[in-house]
Amino acid sequence: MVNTQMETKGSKGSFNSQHDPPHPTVSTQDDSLIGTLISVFGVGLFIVLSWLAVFLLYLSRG
Amino acid sequence: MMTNKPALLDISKQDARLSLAYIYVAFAAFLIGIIAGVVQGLQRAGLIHLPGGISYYQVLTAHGVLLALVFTTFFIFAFLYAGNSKTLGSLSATARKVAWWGFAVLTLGTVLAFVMILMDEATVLYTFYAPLQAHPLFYIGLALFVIGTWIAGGVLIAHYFKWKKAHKGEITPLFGFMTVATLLLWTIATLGVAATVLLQFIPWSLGISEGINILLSRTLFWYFGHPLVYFWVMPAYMAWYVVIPKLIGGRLFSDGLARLAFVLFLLFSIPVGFHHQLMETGISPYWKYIQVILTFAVVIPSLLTAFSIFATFELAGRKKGAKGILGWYKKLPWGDVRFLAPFIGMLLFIPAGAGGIINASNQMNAVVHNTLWVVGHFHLTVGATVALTFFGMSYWLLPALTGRTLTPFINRLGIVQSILWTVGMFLMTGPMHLLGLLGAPRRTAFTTYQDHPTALEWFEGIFVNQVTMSIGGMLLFVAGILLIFNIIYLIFLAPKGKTPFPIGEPALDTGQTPPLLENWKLWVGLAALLILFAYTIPLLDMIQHAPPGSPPYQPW
Amino acid sequence: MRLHRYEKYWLYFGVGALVLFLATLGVSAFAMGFSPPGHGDVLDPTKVEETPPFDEPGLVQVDENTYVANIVAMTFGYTPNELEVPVGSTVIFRVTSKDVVHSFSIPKTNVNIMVTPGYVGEAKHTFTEPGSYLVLCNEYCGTGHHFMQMTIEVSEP
Repeated sequence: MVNTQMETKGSKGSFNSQHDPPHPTVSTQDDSLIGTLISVFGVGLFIVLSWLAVFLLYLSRG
Repeated sequence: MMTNKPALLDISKQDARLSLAYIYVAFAAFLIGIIAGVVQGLQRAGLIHLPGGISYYQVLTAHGVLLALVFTTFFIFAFLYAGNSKTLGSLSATARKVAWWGFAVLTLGTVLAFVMILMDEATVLYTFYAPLQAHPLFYIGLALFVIGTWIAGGVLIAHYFKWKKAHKGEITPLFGFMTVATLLLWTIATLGVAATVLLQFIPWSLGISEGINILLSRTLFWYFGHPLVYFWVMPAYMAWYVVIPKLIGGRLFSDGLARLAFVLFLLFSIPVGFHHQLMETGISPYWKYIQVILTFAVVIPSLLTAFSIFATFELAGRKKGAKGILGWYKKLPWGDVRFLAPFIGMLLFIPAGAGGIINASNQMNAVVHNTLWVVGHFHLTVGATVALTFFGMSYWLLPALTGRTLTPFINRLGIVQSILWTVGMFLMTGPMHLLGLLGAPRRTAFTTYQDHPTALEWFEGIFVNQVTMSIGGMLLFVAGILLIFNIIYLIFLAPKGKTPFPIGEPALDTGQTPPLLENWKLWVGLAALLILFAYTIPLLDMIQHAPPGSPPYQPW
Repeated sequence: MRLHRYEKYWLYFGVGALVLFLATLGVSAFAMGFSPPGHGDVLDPTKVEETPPFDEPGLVQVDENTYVANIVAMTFGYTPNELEVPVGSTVIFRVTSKDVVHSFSIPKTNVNIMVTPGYVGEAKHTFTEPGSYLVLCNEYCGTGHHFMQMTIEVSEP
């Protein structure tokens, strides 16, 4: 997709090589993603609570 | 042709024209669809009477078919054609010719089915459950619609494999990869609806076969019906994975995880149709539960997506110097409609997803099945998540296709439109969910059931009230009209200039993506195995133990 | 392709929650009998009025507190269109359709049966509160769909 930055659409061999230096060892492991962790757990909590609410409603109507 | 003018288009002019043709049909359907939507909403709340013998259910059929099927499908093909022309190169002359045939067949089918709805010959809602019987031309229109998508999709799949062949050993562009996953899913899924329409409905509506196996037709419909929603969601996800990182000045978090999510969708979104039929007799509880498990498996790619999207935002924000745990939220381009609209769509996918898990929860489905809750759920998924993403995309896709630019004024109007749509969705889907828990039925004209207290309660609350729902619907209508104004401006009036099709740079880990993920034979084979596992025995069972077939009915 | 540490935490949590939901549902469905409807009897949908027990639809008392209600759904109503049971009764509803697909749904209870022609849908409910219970059709069945209703009168003993 690097070739999308150039006007040479369809040219061969431009993908993943010309613009960026090779980065086979680059890892995202060290970046701080603590905000992401908190955000997704917020999502998870919402899902669990909604599910429990309707499950209890189901039981109460049994 | 104006070949001497400077190139204002980011993709070849011929491909842009094809894409625009899809856009025109998509927004024509959108306009009629939202008019039908607001009219049925007002009727249902008891605020208006429909004149001239027009039935609520006819208007509702038009609303569902035009927005859920026509608008989405045409918009998706516009996006896919433009995006693949950009990332894989222009279509060949032959491919483009076939693509136009696909468009023609698809449009012919759409018009045929729509005319039958207008003539009140097909007031069967978009699920067209037997033994309600529409005019044969309605079913023929549906068949042409499906065949049209096969032609249009086949061109794109062939285009991808041509690229792959010419670039041996390279990983394919993410956009093309996701396109192929989406279209393979669509093709496998539509086999079910094609089977029921061609083998059951058309012969039966022509009087060639006498009775229809209702349960079989419903099962084949829902074999298609659930992956259908993923056919809407996956292009929205494509925009989140491929386009949004570019718009926020960041980079996709992980290429391999993005591809893995799409492969999981292909595998798990088809063998799950029974979760729409949990309350039906004739399917064993064990097979229902097995498909419930598979349904829960299709949540996983969405969990992956949630992480990837947040991580993409956080990394982009930190690159711009964001401090603290959540400071990166401030670095997102809130004033840019191209970001804001899809972002709201992402947020609304959280309650939509939670509701979806509840719907699919086996016996718990009794609480919500066929109530307004379900209507609230799919307006959050398709009407909010997918629609807001498509709206946000329109603000760059249309100028990119017409060689014009998004002006600050239209950007501001776009923000107003997105917020109005969001408030409307909140006022509409909030009451829908709660009224559903109280048992208010979906797809039902205004009624108080002879003033039964249970039904009167649906009109008594401040928020939990069918009238609030309708007010939400009116706001949505206003937002929709504003969108129509904006897109007309962007197509015909905006200042000339070059708008690029925004494609994010590959993720940093692209080099580490396992080549296995591109092994399409493996994934299609596994998808087929899962489908055979989940469906063979129950399907044989419903054919062998079928009651006598049903004659046709037209009770409208 | 490596998973970030936090993404692993997220997937453990997410998949764990899904497994927990499934286990709860599975135990309640198969060990405690809260299963959705499954295999039911079949009959000829064009001959409902000649097929017992639907030739004489209505309430049949099974024992002191248990009843079977055989009900025929049609455009746009139910036969019978009213049932009366004392409070505390358990009613087993057995419903079939003479024409198109309907439903037999009692708001605020877990009775929500799809009524497919040719099949007998079944559900059970114990009425612990007295009052007039609305039954409605929540599957579109034609122009009069919104008129399709019946009531269950649950009376004090």
